[in-house]
Amino acid sequence: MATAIEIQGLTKRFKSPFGGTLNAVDNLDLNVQEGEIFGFLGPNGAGKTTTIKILLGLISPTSGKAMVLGKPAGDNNTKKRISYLPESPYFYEYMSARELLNFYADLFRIGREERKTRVDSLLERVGLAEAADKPLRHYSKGMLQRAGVAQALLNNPDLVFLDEPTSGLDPIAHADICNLILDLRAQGKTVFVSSHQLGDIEMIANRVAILVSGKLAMMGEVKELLTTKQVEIIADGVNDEVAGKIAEISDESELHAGRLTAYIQDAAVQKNVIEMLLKNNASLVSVNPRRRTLEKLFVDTVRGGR
Amino acid sequence: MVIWTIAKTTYREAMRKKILQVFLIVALAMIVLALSFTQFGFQRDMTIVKSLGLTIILVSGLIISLTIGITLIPNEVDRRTIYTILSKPVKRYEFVIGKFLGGLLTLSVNIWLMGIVFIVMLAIKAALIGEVSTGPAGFVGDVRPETYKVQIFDPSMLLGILMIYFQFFLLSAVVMCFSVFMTPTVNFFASFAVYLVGSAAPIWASLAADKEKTGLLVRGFYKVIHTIIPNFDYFNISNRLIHPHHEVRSLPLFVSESIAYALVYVCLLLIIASIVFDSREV
Ligand SMILES: Nc1ncnc2c1ncn2[C@@H]1O[C@H](COP(=O)(O)OP(=O)(O)O)[C@@H](O)[C@H]1O
Ligand SMILES: [Mg+2]
Repeated sequence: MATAIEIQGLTKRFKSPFGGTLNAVDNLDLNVQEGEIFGFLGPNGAGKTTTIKILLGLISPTSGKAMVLGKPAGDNNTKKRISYLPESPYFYEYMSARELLNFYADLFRIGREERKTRVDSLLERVGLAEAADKPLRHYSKGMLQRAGVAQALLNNPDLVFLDEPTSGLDPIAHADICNLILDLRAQGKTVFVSSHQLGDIEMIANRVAILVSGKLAMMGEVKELLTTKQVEIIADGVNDEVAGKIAEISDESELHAGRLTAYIQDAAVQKNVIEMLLKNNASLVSVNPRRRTLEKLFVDTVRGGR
Repeated sequence: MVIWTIAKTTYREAMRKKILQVFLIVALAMIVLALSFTQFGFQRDMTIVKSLGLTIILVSGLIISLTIGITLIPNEVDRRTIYTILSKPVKRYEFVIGKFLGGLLTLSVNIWLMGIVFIVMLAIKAALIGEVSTGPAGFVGDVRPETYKVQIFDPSMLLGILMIYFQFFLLSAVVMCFSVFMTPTVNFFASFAVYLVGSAAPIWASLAADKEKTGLLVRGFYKVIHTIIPNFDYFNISNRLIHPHHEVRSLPLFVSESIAYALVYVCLLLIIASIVFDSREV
């Protein structure tokens, strides 16, 4: 499979307003394959938007290489095949969604006939068919985001950049936009999506990278990062003494108000712990394979944990 | 064409702004009011009305070209609308020229709307009066006819508006060029200063030529100002007609030279703006 995005040693240095400099992106290496949904995570100010802007040619890197669909970032021909939804997009406020999409379609040099079909079907697809002729000034944040997604799909792109597409949306808009991204995945498009909504990324992305202060802190397949060989045992009515003994033999455990949660990989230890719990009249709540959440992985990574 | 798409959208968005609509209505009302001026008898009234009308159009043109121009590009950056445009197959120079033409279209429609209303109102006023008497004879032997027909259409008004139009065409390009590296407020004052200094071009020229009173360095300075700053005085047609010390030349030649001057200058300024904007971070 071909490489959609290739980033090598990418650095972007800004002059900080208080004097001195700031590496918003710091020696970043990263590859995204075609057909991947790539989740680009990181706390506020980590450098996600800066990286995306470099990939789009909106700003130029201080050093390093950024290739998009085999061409240097910002190549005008490549731009026909990619699209971008900025963070909290804002559009010309006196325009209606239909006018806006017509305008963007003209920038993509889509012919008149084709334009009408695409605009109509996209308005339908993002759920703006009814509001299509109202000025964007009267749109809610969710509706603006829908318009933003529609403009990003106008050129039927091979590669889509989405910067925090689900931040600050109501649950319906949120679900709709997640579904649109899943559609893209089904169509085999490449999607580079930055986000804070870790639950969404967990659901839609194949692979994630976590950026901290401009540096790559972790990268891998979502499945591999989140599955472990441990079993999670939860029991209620556990006293301190028993919990203490269990803590000694578990890989990880915690006790909150009589509820014990223990993580154990070794099968013999698992059996042992369950027997101890039953013998001490604790009530078992659940025994499950342990699955980490992206949320936990993220917090651990950003805090400099494992 | 992408440039035209951007220009059209810029124009439509600008014209829908309430502030511009209100401003235009006020300017039109002032023009109509100016026409009702009667004080000193028809002949002098008409002269005052005409210069009042042209002044209103001039000042409006100045305000519109400054206020529209200073925000054309900075607003796109602030509101991040520029990201969705420049991430599409749009070259930077296409964006700059498209925005410029959109602003120019807005300015043109406003100036010509005021101009046409002014000329039509003048014609109506003239037609209503029909003919006037020249008044009592000024001195013995005054042999003017008792009455004469009022001129309904005065071509010099059209020419006056055309020259106003071209100076703001030029000023718009100055504003656009500044806007790729200045904040709107700084741009407003800088462009206004260029307009004032450029309108005073004959002063710089005569200062630069004055070998007796000023030293070489100072004269060089005036020379530089005179050369770099666009000469807005080229468009000041009433000055030429009033002051006889200007070279007497044919009017069509003068007008076409001024327009050619504006075109060349605008092209230069747009090239500079495009080059600067091309390497700018947005
Ligand atoms: N144009 C700029 N000038 C100076 N600093 C900037 C600029 N753009 C971004 N930064 C800084 O770079 C860092 C990364 O910003 P950004 O890429 O927007 O982060 P994220 O999108 O991950 O929240 C932040 O500290 C931000 O303040
Ligand atoms: Mg961001």
